[in-house]
Formats: sequence, structure tokens, C-alpha cells
Amino acid sequence: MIPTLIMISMIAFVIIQLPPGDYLTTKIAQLQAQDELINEDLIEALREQYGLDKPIYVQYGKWIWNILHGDFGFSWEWQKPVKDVIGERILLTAIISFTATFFIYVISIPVGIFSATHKYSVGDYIITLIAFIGLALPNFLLALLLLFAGYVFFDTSLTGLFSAEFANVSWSGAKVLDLLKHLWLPVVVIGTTSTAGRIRIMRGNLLDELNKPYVVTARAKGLSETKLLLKYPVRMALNPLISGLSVLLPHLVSGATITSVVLSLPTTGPMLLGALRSQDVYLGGAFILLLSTLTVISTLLSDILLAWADPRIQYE
Amino acid sequence: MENASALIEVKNLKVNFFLDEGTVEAVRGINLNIYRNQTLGIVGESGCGKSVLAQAILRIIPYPGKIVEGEILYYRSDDDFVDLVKLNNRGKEIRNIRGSEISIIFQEPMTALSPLYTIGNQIMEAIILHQKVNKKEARELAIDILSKVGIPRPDLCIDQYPFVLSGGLCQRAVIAMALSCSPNLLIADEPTTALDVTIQAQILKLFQDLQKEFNMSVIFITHDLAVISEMTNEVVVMYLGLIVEQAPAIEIFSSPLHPYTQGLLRSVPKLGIESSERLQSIKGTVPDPFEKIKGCPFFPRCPLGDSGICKDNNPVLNTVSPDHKVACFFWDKKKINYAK
Repeated sequence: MIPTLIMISMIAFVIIQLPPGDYLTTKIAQLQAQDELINEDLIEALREQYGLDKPIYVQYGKWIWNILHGDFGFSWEWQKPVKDVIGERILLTAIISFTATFFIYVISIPVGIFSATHKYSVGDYIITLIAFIGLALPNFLLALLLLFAGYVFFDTSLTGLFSAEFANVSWSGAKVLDLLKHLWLPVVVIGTTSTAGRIRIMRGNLLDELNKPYVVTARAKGLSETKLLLKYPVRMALNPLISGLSVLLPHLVSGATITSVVLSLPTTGPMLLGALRSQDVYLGGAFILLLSTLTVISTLLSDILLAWADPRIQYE
Repeated sequence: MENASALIEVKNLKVNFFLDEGTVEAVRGINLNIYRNQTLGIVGESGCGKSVLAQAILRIIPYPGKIVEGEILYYRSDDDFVDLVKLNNRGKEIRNIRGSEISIIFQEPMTALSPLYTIGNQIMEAIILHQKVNKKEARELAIDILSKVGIPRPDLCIDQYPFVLSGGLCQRAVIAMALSCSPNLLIADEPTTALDVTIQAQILKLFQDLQKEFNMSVIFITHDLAVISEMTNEVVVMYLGLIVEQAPAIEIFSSPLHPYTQGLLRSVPKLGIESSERLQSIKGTVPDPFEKIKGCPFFPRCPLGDSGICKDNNPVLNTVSPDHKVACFFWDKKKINYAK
């Protein structure tokens, strides 16, 4: 886990630096575009100040050293410490992603079970239809449709995560409530595709398990159908969903970028995109590092969950 | 046997599977009595309906199979009986019978147990379900039954997962589970097919000992004639959803009357008989299951079939001697034939 994170931090740092030029070249180009005079001395001074005259491994070493001491560096683009720029965004991204994960599993597991146990019934066909539409519909389109519907039918703007009066005030109980009021839309938009996919996975897995001999054995024991269903085939069918948890989180975070742009959510996605474009190394690097940490942790969690859910894994 | 009291009476049982491709008649009218303390063997090829018959008794026929006709009377005592066919197959009444009064053992011990729970968990589940005991007592009972089926160190074994145990041990655990509530009837559906021969012999021996100990009736379903000869006192031969012959085991082996039974016996290799005779097989194969059969089901493969009578008429199961029944128009002719 730790070596993985070290590797990720190195790769992230190098890749961000990979395009020709650096943040200063971008800045100079901007200034030139505004017909401002470029003072060579000033540029040199800035280059020294930002440490851009040093070789890349020195820059990296300095960066990591500071991170270990809680300092994520300075965002050149925002002219603020990175910590101040990203703190809330990381938190909101985490909130949206975890809520979406929760939403996905809470919906897809029972619906998938219903779909499998009522195979080829009207209910199953309706679920299947909705699931396929959900799979086929791109997130941003769904977001636009919901925004449009909200505007036309309810005359409200559904963008953002906070109402105007709460956007720039500090956290309070009322702000949390306001967040919850706005949260459902991005969660639905981000979660729909994965929910639809997981409904299909659950249905397919469960159908495979339903006629397995161990299910018949349990039925011949005299167990009631509901108890039997939940204890034996459902638990078996859950395995792929649990192992899918580790892939889901990064998928949600990166998949949410376009949605965030459309819904103008203050999450990490749009800002990371901007940081990468202007080669704002420390901001981009911090984002990537934190999101990777999130992914590695979620992978670890899903592995632990899986080992708990399936004793066969502990024995291997 | 006739005066012994019946435990199960199957009357004109018919089971169909309604598939998209057509209807398969898996059991086509079976009459059968199972008496107390009897070991009944059911033999037949794959697809002859022997397993479906067993599943019908427990009402666990898989979808899209359905009992379309007939009765299965289960006698708790001579005058207290219930028609299992009439029960709701998800209802409480049949669930109270399953696993406690009638239990079943399946072919594949490794897949018959869920890999996610210890064998103790799965055995105790049945005990707690049917007996008024707490968890601790159930565990004692489970360890007790595990030692009865010959599992070494049952107190350790009980906490093992099925996938760390061998096939033989798993089958013993499955047997323990089936016996945990002292059933009146144990249905063993090819219990030794998936095991190797030495383990098979041990398991068969175990069955004989347990039957005596538990005073239960056993239905032993198999396609292995050697197993039947060792295990049972009464044998039923099934072909395409019908009983074609029924007799005591000794008689089935010494003087089989139905050409299908004769064919089955001829296709088994015998040790110690000096003979240059080649092993014979029954010609042809089991017909398409979707085909409606009008005459004798065995007619297309029968060496004695007479297109005059056998093709269009289905022979009924005739009692030809007090304890021997056969469904064939030419049963007396064939006897001579076989002796030759």
C-alpha cells in the first residue's frame, strides 16, 4: 500500500511536468497575450522562487518532504496554499462519492434480487428496460435532462451543491441540511449508470446461483424461501459486487468530472482539469495523490470485506 | 412385505416440465408403496424420472416442473396421513416435513453444501429449525451425529468449511445433516456416484448401519446395479417416467422379466465368469424427451418388440407372481430367451 502510493506520487509528478514548458511558460504566454512587458529578471526571480530552476528530482523530493509535514505546497494559479484551495472540494467529492456508492448498492442489490427471483415477469421486464436505459444514458445527458426538467416544471435551478446564501459561509447545521437537499441530484446522476450495471450483475449472478445444489439442499432442510434466499444464493451472488467496490470509487470520482462541470459542482474534477492544463504542479499533484490514496484505501476496504464475506479467500 | 404398513403411497403420479421447447413428461403415472423400514432401490438411466420422483415426494421439483396428477400419501401412522401433493410447496406444513420427517441426500457432496458456511452451521440450522433446542444443544447434537456418521474428530470438523474437507467427508457431513432430525424416510439420490470406489463402499456400509440404528425407510436411487444389489431388498426399474419392473432384489438379479432390466444386467461386467462373450449394450438411445410416447416406451429399443401390439399399446404393470411386477406384453416369452 505505501509503496503503491510512493509510485503513484512519482508518476503523477512526472506526468504533470511532462508537457514542454512549465507553469511560467504558461504564465508568460498569458502575459504576452495581454501585451504586457516581460521582464527577464522578474521571470528569473519567479523561477527561482518556485524552484523551477532545480532538477525535477529535487523538486519532487522537496514536494514530498513538505507533504509529510502537512504542507501541500502553493497553487500558482490561485495564489493560495493548495490546502486552502482543495480542502473543501476533497471533502465534498468524498461525500458525493460515498453517498453515490451507498445509493448504488442500496438500490441495486434489492432490485437485482427481485429481478432474478421474478425472472421474466412484468416487473423484471420493467426493471430490465430501465436498467438498460440507465446503462446507455451518459451521465451529463441525464444531468442536463434533470436540470431541464427542474427548470421547466419546478422553476428551480438544480445546479450546485448549496443554495446561494450558504455557498460561501462556514459549516453549520443549516448548511449541512442545505447540502443534503442538493445532494440527491448529483448522486442520482453519478450513480445511475453503475446502479443499472449492478442490477444486471446481481440478477445474472443470482440466477446462476438459484438452482445450485446447495440451494436445493437448504430447501430440502425445510428453510423458508426468504431465509433460504438471503442466506445461501444471495450471499454468494454478492461477491462480485463486493470486489467491484474497489473499482467503483475511482470510477465515480473521475466519471463525476463532466457531471460536475454540467451541474457546476464544487468538486475536485473541474479544478483538477484546470490545474493540469495550466501545469499547476502542486495543485494537480495534491489532487492526484489524495484521490489515489482514497482509491487505495477503498481497495483495501473491499478486500477486507471480501475476505469477511467469503471464507474461501481467507484460506487461499 | 405386503402386510407391512406403508409409509408413502404414490398413486398415479405424473410430473411434467413445461419448457419453452415443449412439455417433457418426466414422470408418467407411477404407483409405488414405500413401507416402514424398507430399503427400496430405484434404478434407471439418466432422465428416466427417478430423481424427479424423489423431488416430487419432498415437493422440491425445480421450476418449470409441476405435478399434474396423482397423490403422494405420507402416513405418519396407519390412520394419520397427508397428501403431499395438496400441500403448498412453500408452506409451513411441507417445510416441517422436509428435513425432519423426510430428508434427502444429493449426488454431489461438494456442491450440496454452501462453501460460505461451516458444516456445523449448516447441520445446526436443520436441528434448530425442527427441534426445540438452543444453539449450544444443537451444537452438541451436531457433533454427536457427525461422530455417528464416522467423521473423525467431530468436535474439530464441525467448524470446518466444506471446501477444506474431502468428498467422502463432505458426503458424511451431508448424511449427518439429513439424519440430524431422525427422519422416517431418507431419500438417497445417487449418493455415491461422485465418490471413488473405496469411499463408496464405506458410505454404503454406513447407510446399512444407520438404517438399522435409526429405524427408517430408505429410497436408494442409483444407476449402479452393483450398489442396488448390495443395498436394497426391493428394486424398482424405471424407464422413461414409468415403472417397468418391480421385484425383490434377489429376484431382479436372478430372473429379470422385462427386456430392459435384462439389458441393464447384461451391460454390467461380471468378475470371475469365464467367458469370451462381449459386454452387451442396449441398442439405441433414450428417445427425444419432447416426443409423445404412445405405445410401450421401450419398444424402439426392445429386442422382442412386436409392431403389432407394442407400438401402439402401453403395457400396464402386471403382477406376475406375488412379489414380482412387470410391464411387458411378452414377459413370459423373454424368460426363456434370457435363460438361453
